[in-house]
Amino acid sequence: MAKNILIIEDDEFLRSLINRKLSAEGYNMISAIDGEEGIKKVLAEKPDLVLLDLILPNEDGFEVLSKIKADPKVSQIPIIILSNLSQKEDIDKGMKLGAADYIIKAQFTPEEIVEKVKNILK
Amino acid sequence: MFNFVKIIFGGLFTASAIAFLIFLASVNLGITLFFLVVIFFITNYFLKRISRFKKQQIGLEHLLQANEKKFKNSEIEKNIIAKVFTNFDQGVVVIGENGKVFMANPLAEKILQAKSENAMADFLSPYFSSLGTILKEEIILNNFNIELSAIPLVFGQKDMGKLIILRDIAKEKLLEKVKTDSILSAVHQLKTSVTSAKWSLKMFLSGDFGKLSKEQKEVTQRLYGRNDSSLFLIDNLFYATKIDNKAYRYAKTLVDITQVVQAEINYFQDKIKSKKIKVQFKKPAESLPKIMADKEKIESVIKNLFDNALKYTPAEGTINASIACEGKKISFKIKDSGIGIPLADQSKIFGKFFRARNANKIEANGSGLGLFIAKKIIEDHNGSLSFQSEENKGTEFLLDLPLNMV
Repeated sequence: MAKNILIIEDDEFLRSLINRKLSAEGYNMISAIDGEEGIKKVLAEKPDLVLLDLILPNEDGFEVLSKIKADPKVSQIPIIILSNLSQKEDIDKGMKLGAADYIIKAQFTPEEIVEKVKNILK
Repeated sequence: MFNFVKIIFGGLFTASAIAFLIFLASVNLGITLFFLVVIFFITNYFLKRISRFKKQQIGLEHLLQANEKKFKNSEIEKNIIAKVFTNFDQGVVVIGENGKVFMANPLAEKILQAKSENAMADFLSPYFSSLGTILKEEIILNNFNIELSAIPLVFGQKDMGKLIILRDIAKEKLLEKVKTDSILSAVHQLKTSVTSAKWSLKMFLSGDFGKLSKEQKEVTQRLYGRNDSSLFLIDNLFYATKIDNKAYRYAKTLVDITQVVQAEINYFQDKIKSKKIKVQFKKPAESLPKIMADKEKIESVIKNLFDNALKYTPAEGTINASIACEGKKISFKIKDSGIGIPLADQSKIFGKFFRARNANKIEANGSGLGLFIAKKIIEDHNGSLSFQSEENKGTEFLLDLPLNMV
């Protein structure tokens, strides 16, 4: 059965590009446009993996990550941070909060992101 | 008093004249004339003295008046200075040559919140700089964000104490933060846009949107390279903004510099190939010791050095990079066969926004930020960044990083 991936990303264009790339790889894509909607969809859909942006309206990515990791019903879902915050402080903070990986958007191509996703969902 | 003298002498003169008239009647003319002459000279002498006394008196009176005026002026000046001192919007403390507080204005007392003058002097004493140097430092004190300046009071060669100025910079800092935050936010938005272009172009190139013709592929490839240059510029802008606001923090971990260099060479593969530049990287057989450094920032230094070498070296040129452990430091060198830096521009090459004349001609894209950032980062790592260059022959950058930095 196709695996579900939730992408929490406020930028519509970036979201559509990733959706297209991962759909083509056979994944079932679900989208959320802010932190609040993201948490709701994590709880409702229980996706196999979450791609999480950090700078988001309402609740930011760090808050979303902490909430998911604090809830035993969904804490096992791997979360890949997908952000343009490239400072080591942010990366450390994200990894410490339990992210499975941290991808700096501008330094990765869509192919490389697909590779990371595949590796985690293997 | 002078008038009194005048009366006495005047009287003396009159009495002499009367005595002389009596004498005239009884004594012969020769003696009379002699006395007359003597009396005339004596009287004349005393009269001259009197007039000199008078002149001196007037002079003294003038002097006294002038002094009085000066005194009045200095009183006014003193009052003005006292008013300025009391109401000055910066804290001012004057420390005497004995190291004790000579005077402090109310704002200084408020900022320092010291119970006594001794406590105030004790607190300030670490900031007393050595003779002749002005010290400036930012401190946070009793909820005040303060810029403390310690200015030595030197008259002639003598140390007369210190002048301490405490400037509340909270407002300034806030404005600076608002400015930085808005620039950083704009930079972030810009980065998102450029990232979306990067992803789209890459997907075009990968055939996600259908097969491209040879020409379409070529243009898309060039656009992709251009877009990556924009990303690089945005990163430099981001760093430069942070440097300006002293918001540069370093998160150091053990870093393998050889690996960083190799990764950057890989990053520039497309550009290297398209310009047909021969890139050599010499590294020792055994791996070099890792150093404590901020990996992301060292990466940006190496990236800037490679970017410059590639930009300013004509097609089919060479770039020779090498890394070695020399004594207690790691030395990275990168030498290109590029346009070089004109001698007249060499002293300014690390300046912010500075671009050498010949650089502008060959490559319009360039912010003049790369080397400014690189130098700052390396110096903050206690290392050094220098270069040797000859116009039309090439440039070699030399980067040293100490091994024992934590």
